[in-house]
Formats: sequence, C-alpha cells, structure tokens
Amino acid sequence: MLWDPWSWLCAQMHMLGMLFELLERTGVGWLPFAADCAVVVACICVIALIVYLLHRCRDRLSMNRERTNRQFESVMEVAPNAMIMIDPSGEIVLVNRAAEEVFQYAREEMLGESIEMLIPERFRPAHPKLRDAFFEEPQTTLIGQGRPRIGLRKDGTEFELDLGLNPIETTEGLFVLSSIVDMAAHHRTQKTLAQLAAIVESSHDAIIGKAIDGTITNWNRGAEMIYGYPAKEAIGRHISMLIPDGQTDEADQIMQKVVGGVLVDNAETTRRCKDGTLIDVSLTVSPIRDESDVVIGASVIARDITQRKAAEKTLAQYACELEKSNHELEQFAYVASHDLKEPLRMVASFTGLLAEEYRGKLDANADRYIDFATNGAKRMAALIDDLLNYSRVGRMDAPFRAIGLGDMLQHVVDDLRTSIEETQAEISLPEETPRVKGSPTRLRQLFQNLMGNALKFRHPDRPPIIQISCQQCDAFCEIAVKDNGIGVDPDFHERIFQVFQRLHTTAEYPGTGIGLAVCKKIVEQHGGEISVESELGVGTTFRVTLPVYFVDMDPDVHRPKFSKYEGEVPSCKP
Amino acid sequence: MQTVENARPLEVLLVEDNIGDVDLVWSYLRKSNAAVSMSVARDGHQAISVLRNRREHGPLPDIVLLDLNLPKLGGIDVLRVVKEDSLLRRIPVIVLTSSSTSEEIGRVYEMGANCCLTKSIDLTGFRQVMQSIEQFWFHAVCLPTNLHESERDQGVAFPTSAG
Repeated sequence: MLWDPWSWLCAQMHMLGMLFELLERTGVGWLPFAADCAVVVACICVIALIVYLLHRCRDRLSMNRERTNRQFESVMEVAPNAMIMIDPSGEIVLVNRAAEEVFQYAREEMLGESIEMLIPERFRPAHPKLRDAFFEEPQTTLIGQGRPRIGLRKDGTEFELDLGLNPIETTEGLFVLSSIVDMAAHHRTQKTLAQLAAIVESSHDAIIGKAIDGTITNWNRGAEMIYGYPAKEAIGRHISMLIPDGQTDEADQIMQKVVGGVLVDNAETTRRCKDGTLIDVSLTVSPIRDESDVVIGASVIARDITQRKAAEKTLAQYACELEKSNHELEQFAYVASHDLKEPLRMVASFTGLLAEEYRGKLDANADRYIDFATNGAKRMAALIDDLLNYSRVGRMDAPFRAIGLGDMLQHVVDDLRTSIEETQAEISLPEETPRVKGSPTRLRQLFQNLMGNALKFRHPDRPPIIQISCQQCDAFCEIAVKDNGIGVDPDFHERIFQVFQRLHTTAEYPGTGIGLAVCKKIVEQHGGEISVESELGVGTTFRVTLPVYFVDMDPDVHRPKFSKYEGEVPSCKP
Repeated sequence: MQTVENARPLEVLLVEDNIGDVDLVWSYLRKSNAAVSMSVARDGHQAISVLRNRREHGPLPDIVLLDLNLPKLGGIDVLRVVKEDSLLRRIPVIVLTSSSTSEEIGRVYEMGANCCLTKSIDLTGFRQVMQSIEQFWFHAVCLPTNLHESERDQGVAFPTSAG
C-alpha cells in the first residue's frame, strides 16, 4: 500500500493539537512555548516533504520494476518451452503454462514447492548440491551433457528433457530460470515428420513443391522416377521445364487457379521428361499458405497415367472393334441370308417345276433325287428364314416400353389355343405379375417359343402341364416356365441355346433348332438371363429374368407398376 | 373384261433381271386363262427407257410388275420415276420383293406403289402370289384405259408435282 503523505500530515497535526492541550492543562503558558512550537512544526513539515518526495521516488521505481516483472511473466507464460524459476533454496517461484502441460501439475501445485518434486527420486539426493554449485557460479548453461536428463511427471512417468539454465539477478536476489524441452514430444514430432517425409519420398507419385513464381522447392523420389531429373537438378529450376511446348498457357492457368486458392483436382495433361518423352499425368495441385493465409506456393502431386491412358485407348479400340465386328457379323448374317434366298428360290422353284412336269416320265431314281432336292431346298429356306429372324432380334426392334406381363402371357396362351386344345394341355399362369420393360413383339415371341416347346416336347404318356410362375427380385423378375415333358439331357443344357442345335431328328420333332437361340438372344437383349433345369423324362423348367418396369424410368408415363393389381406390393411366389 | 373392251390383251411390263423369275412368271401367265401379253425390262434403265418411249409413242403397259433388287438403277428408282410422272403414275405398279423388312415395305408404299408382294421361296407359294395378282389386278379391278393423244399433251402441260 502506498504511503499517504496527507494523512501522515493530519496525524502529525493531530498529535500537535494533543500536545498543546496537554500544555494548557498543566498550566504552562503556551505563548513562549508557541515560538518553539512553530519551529518544530516547520521542521516537521520539511521532514514530511522530504519523506514524501523520497516515497514518491521509491514508488516510481517499484512501479517500473513491477511493469518489467509483468512483461517478463507474460513473455514467459506464452513461451513454447516449459519454464520454471527457482530461488537459491530450490523453491519454485514461477512456472508457465507449458510447464503445467509438460509436468501435468497445476500451477498452484508447483509454486512454493521444491524443484526436486520434478526430478525422479533416484536423482533427488544429488540435486541440491548441483543446484548450490550453480548458484555459486551462475552462468547461462545447457546442462546435463553426458548424463541422462530425466523429468518426473505428476502421474509418475519419466521423460527425457533438454534443460537450459539462466541466472536472473533481481533486487530480491538471484534466481534461476530453467527452460525445459520435452524431448519425448520432440522425438514424436521428429518421428512424425520423418514418417511424413518417408511417405512423400516413397510415393510412386511425383510430389513437387513449387514457389509462387514457379521455382521448384521440393522434389521427391517419385518425381525423380517419373520425370527423370534427380532432386538436386530439379530444385531451384522453374517448373516450366516439365511443360511441353505449346502448353505453357496451361501451367499459368493452373498457377492462377492455385493462387486464387482453388484446388486443381486430377487434371489430366501431358508433361515432358528429362529425356524429352511426353507422358500423360494426372495432376492435383493445391495451394500452400503461410500463417497469414497468403498463398506462397503450391504442392503438385503428379501421377503417371501413361500406361492407364494407353490401356484405356486399347480398351476403347477393342470395344470399338468388337462393336464394329458385331455389327458386321449381324450385317453379314442378314445380307448373307437375304442374298442366299434369291438363288435358293430358283432352286426350290425349278425343282418344284421339275417334279411337277417330269414326275413319272424319268426313272424312279430321278423322282427320288428330285424329291431330295426339293426337300433340301425347303429345309434350307426354313433355315435361312430362321437365321434372318435371329439376326433381326434387337436390330429392328422398337424402343423398349412397359409391358404388362400377365396380359402378354394370356395373349400367348390365346395364340397357342389350337395346339393347347389338341394336346389337352393344362396351363397355369401367375396371379400377380409386374410390368416389365422390353419389346412387346420380342417378349411375345420369347414366351411363344418357350410355351410352344413345352407343348411340342410333351411326354407321349401324359398330357402336358405347363406352370408359369413369376417372382420379383429387386429390379428384375424371374419367370419360370415349367413343364412335365420329355426333358433335356443335362449334357445338352448348354447346347440347346445355340443356333440350329437339335437333339432330335426332324422326323421326331420338326423345326430348325433356332427357337431357344432366339429366346436367349431376346432375353440378353433385355439385359436378362435364361437358364434351364431339366430331368430326362420328368420335365423341364426354363427360367428367364427380365427387367421390371418402374414408373420413374419414364417420366411421361404415370401408370401403376402393376397392371392387374394396382398399387399392391408384389408378393413373391416361389 | 378389260382386255375385251380394249380389244387387245392386258400388257404387263415385267421389270426383272433374274431370267429364272422371268421364266417362272411367263410360264404361269402362259398357262393361265388371262389374255395377257408380257414385255420384259432386264434392269432399271431399260425399264425407264421403255416407259418413256411408250409415253411418247404409246401404248402404255397396263400393269408394271417391278422387282426391287435390280442391277444398275434399282427398283425403287424406277418406282420414283413412274410415280413422279404425271402420266406414268396412273399405271399400277406391283412391287415384288424377296426381302421384306418393314422399312422397305413402308418405303415402297410411301413412294406410291399400288401393292407389294413377297416372292415366295417355293413353287407353291409363288403360284399363290401370281394367282392373287391375276385375280385381283387382271380381273377384279378397273384399270385406267390407255392414253389418247390429247392426254399425252395434257401431261406435258401439267408437269409433275410429286417431289
């Protein structure tokens, strides 16, 4: 508390007043005494003034010192290192925030305690002596060289530290300020940095740092591998050494973007290697900022995509060739069968005429030969027609649309009415069916073929029973056509879907053997699959998957998903 | 029967490159009871020159049987020339095709063909096709009577409008 000269003076005057009163009471005449008193009062006033001035002087000094102290303390507080000040007795007088963090003690827990609390027990006995030695001969030192410097945390764990000691002379005596670095944390940081550096270094991608003016500042091994320049050759040079002629604008544009703080992500471009070869790279360029958020450079990650590009090109080429070849094949099948028909018509027509006009006029062999020729021509005509139809699947079809499966199956049954009645077949259709997406003509052809087969390859001993069921699974529905016919030998399950593959003679079952091949092509055109399960003599099941039509596939069509059972969720019928 | 009215048999112009087909058509017509005469053009150019010649000097054929698949100038081009001419367009053109894609058939009708038939692959089918042609075009329908001199002039005065 500051000394108040005014109250001090008041106190003095009060005391004087009391003295006069005493004199009066004792009967001593106060007048002769008054002159003496005036002298005394004057003296007292002068003394008071001097004392007051002295005090002010002292106060200013102490305020200055206090300000210095505060500044010192605040600097110390924000220092990144742990800082602890002790007095000659080893008592902690000051700690900073970093010290709290390093030693895990709160400030109050450390202040006033002995510095030895922060030293492992086994080093404690020797410490005061070391401390005293330092106080006797104080000088700034980095101590502890050659012996372990170990700190003790509150939780009892020990850690390696680096210690700097500073003697601090104050009016209150000599103090020592120790600056402590947690080496464990330091090692951890070092390790992380090393790991990061190793990651950068070992990356197969080129990782390059460049300054804002384009000067290369970092160059990893990936960059060495990709571009061919060793790091010492690349660092310091301008990034333009990698940019092919005529592309310099592009580099500027990238840099402009980055300076504007924009990340350039996976930009595909070309770069020039040391040996002059051009490579395709995918670049990711991101800005590097300083503490004040100003872009000071850019990091470039470049991936060599030359091989990928080449592979893509090859793949695209293959795809193109395949498409071309497929198209040509279709064209071939179509044109060939179309053009084959012309001469075949001649053969068929004139063998027909020959048979009509010369039957019985030549010998018996001639008649037989003419028959062979006529039948052969007929059969060939049928094959060509089938081949033509097969090649037309998907070629001349209208765009896919929504088809009510149930209605369509019913139509097919109606179409087959005659043979169903002839064979006394029993046909069951699924109760609930989704709408499928496809070509109405082709899907009708598909089910006509499947049901037609079931009727045609019926077992001789029993009337055919054909069960058609439908089960929806996500975006597809599976339609099974199950019969109790003669069945297909498992050995031929793959073969039956091939063009003109027949398992029976034409005498047993007529036909060219294109039906299931057409089915397969139709299903595949719709993105579905067809498979067969069969047991010889028991029956056959053909399973077909077709894409379900969803309303949102076609924004113009606002019809329910199911044609028969509007709004109902389809129940999957096994 | 038209032929009787005209005091001459119906004349069919067959535009067909395949000699076999010519033979088949002729053998059918020869055996049928229809009083029909037949001229043959073996390619598109020949067909057009025959028609242009007849347009000038008459008489026009009563019916054209046109094969689509012709060397040089195709059947479609012949059809175009016929149907774009103000006088020739009245002649019924019966197109015979061995390919029957829906596009092709549509195109043939768009261009004004009067009917389109598919050449059947065997003799029976061929005979059925010829029989229907005979019954419908030779007997059932009324064909335009042949041109007079005045009409020929008129045709010049009213140029074609079809594009």
